Amino acid sequence: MIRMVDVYKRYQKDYSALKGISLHVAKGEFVFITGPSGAGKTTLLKLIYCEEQADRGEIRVNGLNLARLRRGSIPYLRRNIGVVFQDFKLIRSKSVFDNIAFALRVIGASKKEMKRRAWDVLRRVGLQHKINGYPLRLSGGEQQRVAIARALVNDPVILIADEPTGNLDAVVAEEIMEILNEIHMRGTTVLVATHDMNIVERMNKRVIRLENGRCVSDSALSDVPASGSEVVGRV
Amino acid sequence: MVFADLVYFVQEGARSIRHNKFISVVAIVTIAFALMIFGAFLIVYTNVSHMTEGWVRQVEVTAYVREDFDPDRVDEIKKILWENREISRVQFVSKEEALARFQSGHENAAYLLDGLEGNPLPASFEIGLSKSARSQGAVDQLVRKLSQIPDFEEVQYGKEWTRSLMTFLNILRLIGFTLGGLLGVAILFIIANTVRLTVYARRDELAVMRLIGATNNFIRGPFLMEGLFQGLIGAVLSLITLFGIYHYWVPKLKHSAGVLLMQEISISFLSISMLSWIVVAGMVLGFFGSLMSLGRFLKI
Ligand SMILES: Nc1ncnc2c1ncn2[C@@H]1O[C@H](COP(=O)(O)OP(=O)(O)OP(=O)(O)O)[C@@H](O)[C@H]1O
Ligand SMILES: [Mg+2]
Repeated sequence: MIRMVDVYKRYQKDYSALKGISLHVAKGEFVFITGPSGAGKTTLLKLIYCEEQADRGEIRVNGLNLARLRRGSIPYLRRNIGVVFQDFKLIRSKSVFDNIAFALRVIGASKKEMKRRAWDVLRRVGLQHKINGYPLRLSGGEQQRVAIARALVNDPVILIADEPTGNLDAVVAEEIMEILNEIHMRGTTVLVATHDMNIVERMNKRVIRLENGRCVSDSALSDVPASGSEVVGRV
Repeated sequence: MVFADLVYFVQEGARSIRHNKFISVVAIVTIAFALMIFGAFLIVYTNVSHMTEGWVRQVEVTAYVREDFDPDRVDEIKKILWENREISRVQFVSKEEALARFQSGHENAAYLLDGLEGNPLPASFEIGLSKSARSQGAVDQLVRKLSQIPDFEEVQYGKEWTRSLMTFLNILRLIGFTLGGLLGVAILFIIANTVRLTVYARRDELAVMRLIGATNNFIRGPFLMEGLFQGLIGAVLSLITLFGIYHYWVPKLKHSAGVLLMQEISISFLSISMLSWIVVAGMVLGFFGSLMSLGRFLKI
């Protein structure tokens, strides 16, 4: 589903955010990406849905080689990937319903379809009662759920969540993880970036750890090479 | 593009205009003003060219016959003349008719003829030209040809006069193109700027749209509609204002011009096709002005 081979990414000349990442995530897997702040977790995720382009190395997502992807095809790739952004990226001027329906609007769904699926997905994240609320009037946990609902509404094959429990208390964080787990149970490939080790330990899933732009461990592998430039993960 | 998308673009474009009322109104009024100037010019141009076209049509070649011309040969000469395809009308004016015309045209000046014996006015053939022959070159050529006919003493036509009229119309047309071009560019920039402001105000939203898989065309749609609407509303507004002015001023203008030219003149408003062209121009300019401002904002 997602394969990276020796991927490098730098934002500034003398500093690389990712230095030779190689990994493979199979269809239907649930994977945590952990690591300290600045390790490159968000960068790694951005490469997958093409918000950033790798400088070197090969990335394949859903069978597509991203380096060869035409610009015009990027929107269609993104429709298969639901992303829960670290900063939510909800549209403030739109209601909860409209934020979610908008993801359907963008891909040309009918009004009826929009209603049905937005409603359905809001129920899954337990937010039906806030359907007419506005993002700025919601709690952090609620905004997070709206963001998840929007990511889910197109039935993506891959769900990417960047710090979905970022500044939520333990109880709400638990609920959010429960939702993500349920999505995983339905067969979606789920990637979660987090530095919340409590949650990672409790969930007992595959964990890939980044440090300083390198893969330093992968729970799916018995032996972890010291150098990040070799193939590190394969399931 | 699906029909539902188009509906969405229209709704969003209209919403954006309502949302940014002040700036939209400023843009629309400016566009209306620019198009009004152009429309006013068009009215002047079409009327002047229409009026002068009437004059040009009156311009005809007059062939004065020799003093000893035998009136029995009129039909014979007519036949010769008709062989020229440029000629659309031939009329013989006898000496008597010429005199009668002169007298009725100069009632107060009949004394001019008093001292003369007999009728000093020559008979003539008045020759109308078909439309295709009204270029300067064609007229010159025809006149040269007619001058060879021995029965003609002199062949005349309003050479200088038509030439300066043509020049005048050409200059007017040139001014029109320049004016239209300048105003068009101005409108393009006005719309580009207002749309740029709305794009800028909503850039976060656009970034989100991009990230959730909206195509560039989908992101552009509402803004193109916004520009198109501004152009459309501006154009309609300009035409309404122009018609108001026309309706109010033209009767007065007609009156004073009539007094001045001693002739009934008619000043018509823009034709339906011109009205629609102005509206279409407004919309097209709005669309492309908007497109211009979107280019640099839309990268994935
Ligand atoms: N757009 C950018 N321009 C320049 N540098 C960037 C940009 N985005 C990230 N970086 C740098 O790249 C490195 C990795 O950033 P990244 O956001 O991937 O870290 P992270 O692991 O997601 O951190 P956090 O846990 O704080 O979210 C950081 O040093 C960061 O400063
Ligand atoms: Mg991050």
